[in-house]
Amino acid sequence: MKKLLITICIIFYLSFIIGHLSLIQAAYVLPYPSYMPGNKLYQVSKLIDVVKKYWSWGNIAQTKYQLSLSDKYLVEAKTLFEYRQYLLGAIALKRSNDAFETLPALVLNTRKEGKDVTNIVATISEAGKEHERVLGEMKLIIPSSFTWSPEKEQSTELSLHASVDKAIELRAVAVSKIEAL
Amino acid sequence: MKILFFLSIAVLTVLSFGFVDPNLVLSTHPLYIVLHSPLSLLVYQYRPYMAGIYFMLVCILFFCYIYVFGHAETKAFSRKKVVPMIVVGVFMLIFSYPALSYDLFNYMTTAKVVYTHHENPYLVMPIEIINEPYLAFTRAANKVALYGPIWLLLTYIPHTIGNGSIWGTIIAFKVLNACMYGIFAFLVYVMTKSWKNVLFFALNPLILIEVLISGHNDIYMMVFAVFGLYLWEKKGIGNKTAGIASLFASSLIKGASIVLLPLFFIKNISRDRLLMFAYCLLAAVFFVLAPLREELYPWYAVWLVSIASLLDMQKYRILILFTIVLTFALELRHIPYMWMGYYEGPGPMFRAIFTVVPLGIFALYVLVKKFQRKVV
Repeated sequence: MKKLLITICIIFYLSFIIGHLSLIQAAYVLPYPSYMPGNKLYQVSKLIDVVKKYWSWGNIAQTKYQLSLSDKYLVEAKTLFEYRQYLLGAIALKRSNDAFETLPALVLNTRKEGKDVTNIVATISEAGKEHERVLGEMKLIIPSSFTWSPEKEQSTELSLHASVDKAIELRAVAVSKIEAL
Repeated sequence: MKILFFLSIAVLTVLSFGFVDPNLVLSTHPLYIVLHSPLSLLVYQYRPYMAGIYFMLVCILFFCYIYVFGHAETKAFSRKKVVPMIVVGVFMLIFSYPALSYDLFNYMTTAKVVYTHHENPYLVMPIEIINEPYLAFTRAANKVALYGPIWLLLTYIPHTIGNGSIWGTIIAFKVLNACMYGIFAFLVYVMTKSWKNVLFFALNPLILIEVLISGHNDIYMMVFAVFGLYLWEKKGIGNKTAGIASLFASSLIKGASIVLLPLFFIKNISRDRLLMFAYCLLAAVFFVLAPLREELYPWYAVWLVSIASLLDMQKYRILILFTIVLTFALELRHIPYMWMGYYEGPGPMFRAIFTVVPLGIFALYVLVKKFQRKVV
């Protein structure tokens, strides 16, 4: 009976601790992959992204939009790399970088408007860490370089590891700029 | 009767200041502080007394309402005599504090998100602007804008007139509400040519409390919707197009009026039947969809009172009486929160009892009357 009680207490304690640890780990969650290139709805989703860009007026709304766009294309790049679609993956990664790069200026503008940016900075910092983690995983599954040679077209040399390193650096720089504000 | 009406309105206006949110300082004037302290004490410390006083005031207002409505065609309550009474009453209520709901503060904060912070309120919640001082007394700050774009455009007027002053903005919103109330009363007169119908709408305590004290925006939706129906009845493609546009604008204030759209496509139908359909459709949203979404909020009955005020008062006597009893029952729904200070616990049960009991008594009355008629 005593043993059973102790076991229950340990399980209860561990479940409490594990539950809390998992909560801390899930501070920033990337979205599920959306439509991939080749899907009929992919162009539609890109069009919706353009509409959302204009709908997201205001610096906070635009920051949220650009961060969500960066997340979306990062997940897309990872999925494409997993399926060895390196050219498309590299394009998606560039889109993710472009969106993330806009964040420091947007946060600065938000602050200039007199809005408290503490929460935004914290969210972007968390996002930056999560992006870096995903990019690190990405680097493990891709070759350092790849020559993409489609039929009847010129081949393209892709420096994949360099692209990922650039993406990690870009995020680190953007996050440090934002945190310094 | 007039004195009783004014007295209850005046007491309601004064007592409303007891409900001022503890985080909101309306004025630092010593006189205001001296007057506000006992009211605040009554509202927050002696809750059962406040609930009792509110119950009595609602009963008095309904008594006055039914009395005046019943004597609408007498000289004592002719248009010339009652219009000044309504105007003075409305003027007093404009200066009341929005005591029974925080919605007016949500409107103000959303307007501030748009016009001061230049953010899209459908994407950015007020709580995301963490240094916004209005957050201290706004309840639904963790929600994006709940109303349509036409409503957002309309809020530009009071937001601008308020010019950053909280009290100024509250008054500006209330003045706009009073204008809508006046426009609707005028619309009732134009459409029915009946003074009794105007009184049915204009003196209904639910309308006075929810539109003029709490400042809910349902009256805007109804002004546009009913104006749409009015234009639709007229001949000419221009009028009909404007009618549909007005209804569309109404649904872009608050979505509920979109249920009226099918009515615009029914041909050869009398106004009374059309209004009955409108009443039924809005009642369906009110009794079925609204509680599913959140709960049976008293101010949603503004839709039903507005439509009922356009009906033939004699022909639809039972429906008119039902609407009066319903509005009374709904105004009692404020009591449990006033008494307890929280919405949960036994609150929902008490709110249900306060609503069901008066309606049950009314149903019994109707059944007895029918039975008596059959026996005779």
